[in-house]
Amino acid sequence: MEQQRVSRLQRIVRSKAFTLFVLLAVLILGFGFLSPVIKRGAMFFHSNTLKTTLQDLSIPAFLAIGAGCLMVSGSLDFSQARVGAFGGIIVAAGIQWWGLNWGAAIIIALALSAIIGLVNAILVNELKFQPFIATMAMSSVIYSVMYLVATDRTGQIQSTINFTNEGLTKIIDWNLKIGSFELPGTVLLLLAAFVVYGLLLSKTRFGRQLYLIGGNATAARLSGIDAKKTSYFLFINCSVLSGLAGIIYTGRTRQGSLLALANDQFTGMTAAILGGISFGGGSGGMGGAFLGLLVIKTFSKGLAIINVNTYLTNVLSGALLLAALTFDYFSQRSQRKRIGI
Amino acid sequence: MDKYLEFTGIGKSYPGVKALDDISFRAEGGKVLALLGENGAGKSTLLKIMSGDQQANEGTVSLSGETLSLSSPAQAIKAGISVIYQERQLIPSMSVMENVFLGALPSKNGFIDYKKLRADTVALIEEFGLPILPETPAMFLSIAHQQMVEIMKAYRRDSAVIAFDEPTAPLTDTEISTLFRIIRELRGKGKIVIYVSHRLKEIFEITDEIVVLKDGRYVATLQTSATSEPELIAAMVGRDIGDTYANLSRNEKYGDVLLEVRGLTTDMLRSVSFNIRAGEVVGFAGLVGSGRTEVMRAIFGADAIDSGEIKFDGETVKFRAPKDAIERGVALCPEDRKEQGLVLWRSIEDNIIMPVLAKLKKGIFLDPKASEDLAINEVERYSIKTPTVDKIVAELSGGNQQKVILGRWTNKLMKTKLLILDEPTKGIDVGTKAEIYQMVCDFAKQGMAVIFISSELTEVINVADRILVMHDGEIKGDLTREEATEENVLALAMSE
Amino acid sequence: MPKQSFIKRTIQSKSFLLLAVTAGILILTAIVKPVAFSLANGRELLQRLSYSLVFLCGVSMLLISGGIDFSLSSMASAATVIFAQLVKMKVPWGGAALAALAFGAVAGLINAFFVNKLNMMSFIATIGMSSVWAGFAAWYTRGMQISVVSATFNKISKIYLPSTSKGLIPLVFVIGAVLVLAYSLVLKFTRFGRSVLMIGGNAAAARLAGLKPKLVSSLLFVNASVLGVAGGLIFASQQKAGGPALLTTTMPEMTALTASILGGVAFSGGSGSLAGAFSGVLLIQVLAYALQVMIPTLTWVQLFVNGMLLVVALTVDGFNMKRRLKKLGIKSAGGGGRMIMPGAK
Repeated sequence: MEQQRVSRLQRIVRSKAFTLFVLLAVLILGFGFLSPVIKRGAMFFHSNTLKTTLQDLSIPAFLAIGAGCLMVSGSLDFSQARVGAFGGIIVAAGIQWWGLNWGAAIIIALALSAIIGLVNAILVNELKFQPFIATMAMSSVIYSVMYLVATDRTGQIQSTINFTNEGLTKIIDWNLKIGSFELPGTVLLLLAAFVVYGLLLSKTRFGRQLYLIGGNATAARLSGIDAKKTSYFLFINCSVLSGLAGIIYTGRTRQGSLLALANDQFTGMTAAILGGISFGGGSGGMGGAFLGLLVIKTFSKGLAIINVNTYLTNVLSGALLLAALTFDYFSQRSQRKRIGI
Repeated sequence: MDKYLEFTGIGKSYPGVKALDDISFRAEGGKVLALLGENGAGKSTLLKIMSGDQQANEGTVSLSGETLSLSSPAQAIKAGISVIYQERQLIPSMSVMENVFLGALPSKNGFIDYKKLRADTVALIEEFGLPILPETPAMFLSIAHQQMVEIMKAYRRDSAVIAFDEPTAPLTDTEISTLFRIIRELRGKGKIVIYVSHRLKEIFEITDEIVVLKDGRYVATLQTSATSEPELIAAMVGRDIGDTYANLSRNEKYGDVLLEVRGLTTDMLRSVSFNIRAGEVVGFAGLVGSGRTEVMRAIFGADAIDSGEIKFDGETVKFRAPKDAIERGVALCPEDRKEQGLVLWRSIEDNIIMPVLAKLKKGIFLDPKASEDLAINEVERYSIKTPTVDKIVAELSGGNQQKVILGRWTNKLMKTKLLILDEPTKGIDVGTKAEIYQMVCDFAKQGMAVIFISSELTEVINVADRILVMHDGEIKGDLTREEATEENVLALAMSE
Repeated sequence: MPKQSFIKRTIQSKSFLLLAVTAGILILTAIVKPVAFSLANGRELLQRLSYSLVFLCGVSMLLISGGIDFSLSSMASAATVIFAQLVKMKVPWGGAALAALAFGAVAGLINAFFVNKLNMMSFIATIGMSSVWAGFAAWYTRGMQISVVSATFNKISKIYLPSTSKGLIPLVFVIGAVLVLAYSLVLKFTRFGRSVLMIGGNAAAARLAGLKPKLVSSLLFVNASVLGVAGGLIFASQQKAGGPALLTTTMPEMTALTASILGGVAFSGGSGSLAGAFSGVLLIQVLAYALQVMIPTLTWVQLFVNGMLLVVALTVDGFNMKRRLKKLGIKSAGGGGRMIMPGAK
């Protein structure tokens, strides 16, 4: 049989990313035209909406990248939000209480995040814990260590640590001016991260290995792929990125908080699932995760603009996760039906 | 005449595959009916439909004229059908008695009547003459005894229909004779007994009628007393199988000793030693669980070795992971294609390039063109039926899936010297099987050493140049193709 | 195989070990801080145990069947909001409690739907639901607690036995203990109880033997949720309030999970007993309370020990599983039931 090559266009149209792109367009147009109708004075089409939406993206974006890579390989991490809060607390306490300069505080925070990732990887790979319970258990251990860090000299536990540091603030709040529009520097960073990780997943040997491990870890091992080493890298990578998200949050709010990122604890995972990275592993990619994230944040921004109660965002995060999973279930089922398994 | 089970026009199809097509026959009470056919003939699917595990698309199953609705295992059991599965369906942590009465624990006033449960189980164990206790958790039993518990589970239901799926595979002679005594007893009671086995000897010993299936279709019903082995084989295969083997173009020249295994010992193996020369096809025969797969996994670095030495290509080697073995030129096609071989939901291309990812680099990136070319090359070489190499492997038939794995290990970037094929023809149609036999010979001609494991005796003794027979973790015999017959290989495989 | 003597079996059992450790902690506390042994402290400890035990029955049964539910504490908190609000609207507390329990049953059915109909893994479905319930409760109350304005209801948790001013044992503790005993009997001596174990041990085999794994699993999800609400109501009576975060700070389902695993319930399902799980809860609560009494200022140590308990319990469970698999001649567990998704492989 003559072998056809697959055209690029076919690949794009068939992909889940394309569906998400359409969904995103619908959301933007829908909110854009309906927001002034639903609530007087509400303007979705405004350069400020774009800027704040992008800013809102930067924190969950790093969570989505870390979670996405892990999930492609068939694993996951529930300690992301806690690791982020932990990183933030370390930076805040480091600057305010321990007299570190901001660079050193960040390096220490990231190094400690990496250690948490290492412990997660050890629990999963050496002690054979299931990833979800290992990382949940680690979450509560991290929480206790945060209490230790957040205990001030008088022995009081501070649930938030305020700090002032010009250097850090300047870096975090730096904007790229394009005409009258200011593009936040963190957005540039997140775009760069998506591109780098996107290339890593889709174009490199390492990335291909992740998909094969996620698709069938036994077969991957029997084909000479070192799944363990990969898993260590991914857990550490995920924790460091979560720490980074927490540091950006802390830098922006100028305080470390025990409860930082709590609202975003599933956002990364949900974005990844929406974008086609299914829970079993072995499918999806960074482009999808990015679009998934855009969909989630556009949706919540739109709701905020038409003034839906903020307490409902919590409902939304759980409901979206379940909706994404349900969607995933039905698309997998139709695929299986077609093949007959 | 009392009871009968009738299949009328049973059809079961998956998109693209017709697993069963218009199957109609009748099994009568007081008789043992054998269901015979090659792997993939549709026996297991038929049993699954009987047991309510899967539902037929067409046709009906009726018991003594009454059409049955078999939409779940619970319903099938209620209707009086018990199936004893090939994969033992026990609950490891639960006791023998609870496993035997799984789904029907005796109770009194809402509480389980442990006294009755124990007494009933003891009675059954005595009837079967087994040296086991009712309280022992199932996981502590030997595989043979686990199988007997499985049989007791179906036996105690007193169902009208009892079907056995390859029941003797893990059993020793003592238990087989017990089993046959039980089957005769069931027949005496007027039960409908369906017996699935590959072992023709057993079929002649225990059954009264034989229904032959081939490629999902009904072929014939034969009276056991009025048929012969050659006639059965001809009916199963649909042509003279002798030709397939006689027509193979084999390798004649062997090279140096490539693999030398000395005293290989693990928790499943006892001092296994053997040699293989380059260009030689060595078959491994033995019953399931005899240690064939374990030897291969140990050689391949997939399992740890307690003691023993492996010399490969003149050097003593210690493979700590499959990766090390692959780098030296050892390749393993594992027995369970879907669980261990393939990444089912990835493309053909991905599945082929798995072990050579490192060699397809262009700078820091993977070279997409080189990898697609490599995959296309293999797809063409093995004539894998697919429009593109992008197609996910789950969509291919069993034979084409097996070819993808062969393509993985023999592509031009691999330097495979030893190719281990563990049950390469399992679940594959007859035509593709013949292709695979010739491929095995061709690999040998190219100078590879090939290890060929199969549970189908005919296949091993006709394809391999030399046959090693395993039993209970040891090598019990080393025969040339000329010396090997089904009888002497089986005798070695079941030696005590 | 001779039968082991009852005493020997008892001493070798996991419950005995846990109870011995618990006794050790009590003795250590007695030495370090003898004043801790007061009536008030005893009552407080038993109060904490009471709702933990109610949660335990639901969580353990579910875990043994191979399921897990992380939505319990936020769902139960939401139920206390419903309860407190209904009482505020002059509904008799009995009626309000029934409404809250009914809400629990519905919540359990939703979990069961996701897990058994849509084949989601139970941990992820219930975590999702957890944030849904927490969000709804917070949205309705604006994050505030609602006082329970029924004196009768609030008094329930203050009834002590024997009913003198020196009475040590709260009535609610007795309720919890009786529930544990009842579920223990169900698990051990009824068909339903044994089918829970069998489904956890090998759901496919249980199905082929004519059991209905999905039905049993769904019942257990509902059971866990209803018991969760019952535990939440006990807590509400102790706190005299309902609120969206009432139970999410103490996370009784995590305590119950850790206790079950400590007590020998296999994390992958299929084995364990409520006696072991009961000893586990006892150990956890006594340890937490002892730490609180002995090192009141070191909150982080208390939290740390609590977190590490789960890690330790799972590590021990892992080793047990490995030993068991080795006996079976299986090399690796290969995931385990809870992780397998349609389409994964």
